[in-house]
Amino acid sequence: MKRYVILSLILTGLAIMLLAPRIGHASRVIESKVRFAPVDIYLDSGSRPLAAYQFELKVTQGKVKIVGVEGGEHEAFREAPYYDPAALAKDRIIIAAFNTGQDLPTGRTRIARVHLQIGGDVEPEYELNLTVAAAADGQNCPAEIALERGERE
Amino acid sequence: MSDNERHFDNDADLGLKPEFSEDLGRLFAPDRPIPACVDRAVAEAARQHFGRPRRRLWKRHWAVPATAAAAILLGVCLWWFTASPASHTEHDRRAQALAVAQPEADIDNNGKVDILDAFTLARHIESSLPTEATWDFNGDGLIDRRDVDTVALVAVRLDKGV
Repeated sequence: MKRYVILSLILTGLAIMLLAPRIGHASRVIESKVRFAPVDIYLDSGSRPLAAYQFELKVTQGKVKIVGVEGGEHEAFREAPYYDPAALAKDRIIIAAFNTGQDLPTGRTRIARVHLQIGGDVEPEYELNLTVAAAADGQNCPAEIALERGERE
Repeated sequence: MSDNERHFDNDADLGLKPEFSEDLGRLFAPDRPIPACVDRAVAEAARQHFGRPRRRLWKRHWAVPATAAAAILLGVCLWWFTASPASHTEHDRRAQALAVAQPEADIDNNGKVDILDAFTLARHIESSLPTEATWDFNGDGLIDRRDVDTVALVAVRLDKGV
């Protein structure tokens, strides 16, 4: 009986030692202030129809993880764009898409929505870098990229 | 009468009167002396009777903690391996394939791989324009939408820069 008790205590201790760090980490995550919010990326190509775009989104301040990427509002860019899956759970992503069709958006249009997990109390800051904005002929065209924050608990 | 029996019979803590104790002793004492061989035979029979079940009981006692230990270890191992990034192997393999494709993926020859290369390739395929054999990036013998996807994925790779 003594041996049974001692063995049980040893096993329990071993299990606690192995699991405690993970449980502790998990509880810290739950305790810390975490919220989820999307950011909408808009591109304004003026009067020229937008056929392809590529940009980089980087978090410059705050504890932010990218958790998902959605397509844009126009039918031409409704599907989820190309991005590196390795960017998920990180704070930097390159997003790109194109459409070879004729029905393309002009003017200001939402090209993508990025879902973020924001931790801590520091308000995040982002940096956007537009590298490609091309018309249907494949030539780069002048365009402006902008970001709009959305909030969702 | 054995020593043990005598011990209990003479136990002063029982608080019995000596006469009453003697009467009880006479009443329950064996009417003839018990030979030592009978004592040994009874003891041996008792050992045989209780010995095996005790061993089984011992095994049963150890079976519970042993099973619990095995279950805990198995659970910990499973949790550990499922929580670790096991899918990295597949991702790394794909990334290596993409890295190989990167130099040839610069279809418009502007010195960098971006979404315009995928766009150009897609337009070539859709318009049935001439294509080059080196554009078969996934090596399946065809130049199709999957090669376009390969180029696009090279364009958005994090470790290549923009």
